[in-house]
Amino acid sequence: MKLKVAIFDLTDCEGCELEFINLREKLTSIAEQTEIANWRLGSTSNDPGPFDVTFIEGTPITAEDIEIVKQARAVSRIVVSLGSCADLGGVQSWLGEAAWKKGIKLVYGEKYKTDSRAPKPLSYYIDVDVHLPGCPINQNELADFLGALLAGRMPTEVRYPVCLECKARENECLLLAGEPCLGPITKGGCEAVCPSRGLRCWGCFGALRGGNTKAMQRVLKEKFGEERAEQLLAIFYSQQDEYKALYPKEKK
Amino acid sequence: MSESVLTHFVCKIEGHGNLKLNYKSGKAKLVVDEGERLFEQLVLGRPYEDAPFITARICGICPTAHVLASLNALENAFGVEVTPNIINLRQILRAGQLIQSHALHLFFLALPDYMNVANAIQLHHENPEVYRMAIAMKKLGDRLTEVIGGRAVHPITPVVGGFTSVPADEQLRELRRELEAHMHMALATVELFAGFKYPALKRETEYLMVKDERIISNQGLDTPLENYAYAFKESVREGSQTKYGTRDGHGFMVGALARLALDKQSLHPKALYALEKIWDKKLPTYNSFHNNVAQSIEIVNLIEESIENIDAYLAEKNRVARVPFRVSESSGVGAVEAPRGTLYHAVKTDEKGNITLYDIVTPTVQNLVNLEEDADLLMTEHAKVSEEKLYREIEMLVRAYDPCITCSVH
Repeated sequence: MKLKVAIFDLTDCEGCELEFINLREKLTSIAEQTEIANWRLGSTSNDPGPFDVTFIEGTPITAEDIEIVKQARAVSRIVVSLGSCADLGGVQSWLGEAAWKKGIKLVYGEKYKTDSRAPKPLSYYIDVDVHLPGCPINQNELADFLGALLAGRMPTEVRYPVCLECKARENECLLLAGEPCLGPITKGGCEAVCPSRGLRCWGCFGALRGGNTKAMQRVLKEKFGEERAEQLLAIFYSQQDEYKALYPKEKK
Repeated sequence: MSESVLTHFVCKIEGHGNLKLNYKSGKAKLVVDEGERLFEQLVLGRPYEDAPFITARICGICPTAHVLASLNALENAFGVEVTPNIINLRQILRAGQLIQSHALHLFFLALPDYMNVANAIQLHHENPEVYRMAIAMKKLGDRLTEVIGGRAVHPITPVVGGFTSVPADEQLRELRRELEAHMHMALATVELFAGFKYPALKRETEYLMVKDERIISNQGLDTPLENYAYAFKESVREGSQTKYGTRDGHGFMVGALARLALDKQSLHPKALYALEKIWDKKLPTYNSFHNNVAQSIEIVNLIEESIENIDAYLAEKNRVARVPFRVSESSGVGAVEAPRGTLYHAVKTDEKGNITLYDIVTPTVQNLVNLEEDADLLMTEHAKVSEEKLYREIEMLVRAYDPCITCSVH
């Protein structure tokens, strides 16, 4: 029997969904072994479920978004957080509730009404079975996951940092070169694609479990100052326990 | 809400929007239903280098356009003069952005309307030749972005002053061969889209674009880029997370069709051939459905332009990947002709180069009112057709504009 797949997108850039289309030839062969039953970016005909696998992309921020993810959870065997917005809260989540409310007023004016709240990762609202982080996700990791799924196997979680993949590609160390590279404490799986092209790691796969974030914070503070250290760590880690242990109070 | 108002969710567009059609009064509204993003707030207080990285994340379909607009604003602010070889590579990046976005829109979002299938994957069985074209054209755009930018979504290498790394010459020569090999298919794409029967629609409107750092229109507008805030007005509408742009209370249009109407003289020989011999229409046609054909002609032009840029880059002996610059307390406006039209980024920085103000105006914000005005005309002129058919036509109109709701909210 074909695997029944759903793809939902919430508030985000839809770049990770696009990586599905970017699988191109691979997408065609995957589509033959699966039934994409619900995907509103790709099609007009959509099915309410149940689903074997549901990919959720983006952050739930409105009451309707939260309702969608709860319903999706209820009708899905496996839920996957696709990309850093769903998995970590995304770049927009470091603002926090107070700054979020203030920002809404600044952009839309005093009269504007909304039921949105500061972005939180999917796991804040529902249980997530498989995490595929990245801003955007890594195509090969996605293809590997789909392959494993078709073989009836669950993927194993990445337990090494970006540095490992970066060293394997024999790149020069950007942290030693004076850049605030977050490779040492960031979960791998990205194939070190940024440092391989000369860009420091911004941490988009999230904090590696068991990584020494405290030591990294000290290095960043020494080299770039307190304020910048917090900005650098906040961009993708702000909703993670590792970050909250370093900065327990929410930013005003 | 009266019973004559029906709300439909629009599928196969980028982001979440609902069409509200009032069949009695003949009025259409496109209501955006997307969570707020607050990107203009997210960059405040951060160093300038964070702006292109963060604003790329506004949109997964046009991240490169956001990066290029952000770099343009920052480089204008700091007075950075990049070298011609950096400009060559950036133009190839922009071409990759437009080709991949146009291919995605034309084949995966718009084409199913005209070939009567629910989605492009069905074409794989029903029309394998067109499906092969869809995949190949999308891949060409991705390849340009991957070789220059490092990957297809959210480019890695472009930074203020140039690039963190540039491709090897051999990679560019390979890219040149791929571009040449796809020309035939690009012309076939024009033939395909020029051959569809589009709903009848004719409504004169104002077309805008940015050329040589000036905002120009077919109704005499010609003003420096820095005046963008005076060229049109953005207003907030209740219950919608996007803003709506107008000029003197009316809609105006940006994007491929506007560029074709305003800047035909920039077309390269094969693109001109595609326009005059394959499509054979007198410009401007004032039918917004033709945006589809205009996008296909742009793909041909961008292939020719990219080949020229590769040749110029490879011929340059003294290449520089990144130029040095100094940050200062300053302000700057940047713009790029993105897939859907002119994208503006504007920035203010303090003396350390930290961002104190950031403003973004996306093409979709500029197009929405014009889209509604077109839809109103369809509702009046086609009042006798069934509600279902009319709805389908308006949904096709929405898709012809290729709106990016995600961008419009930012």
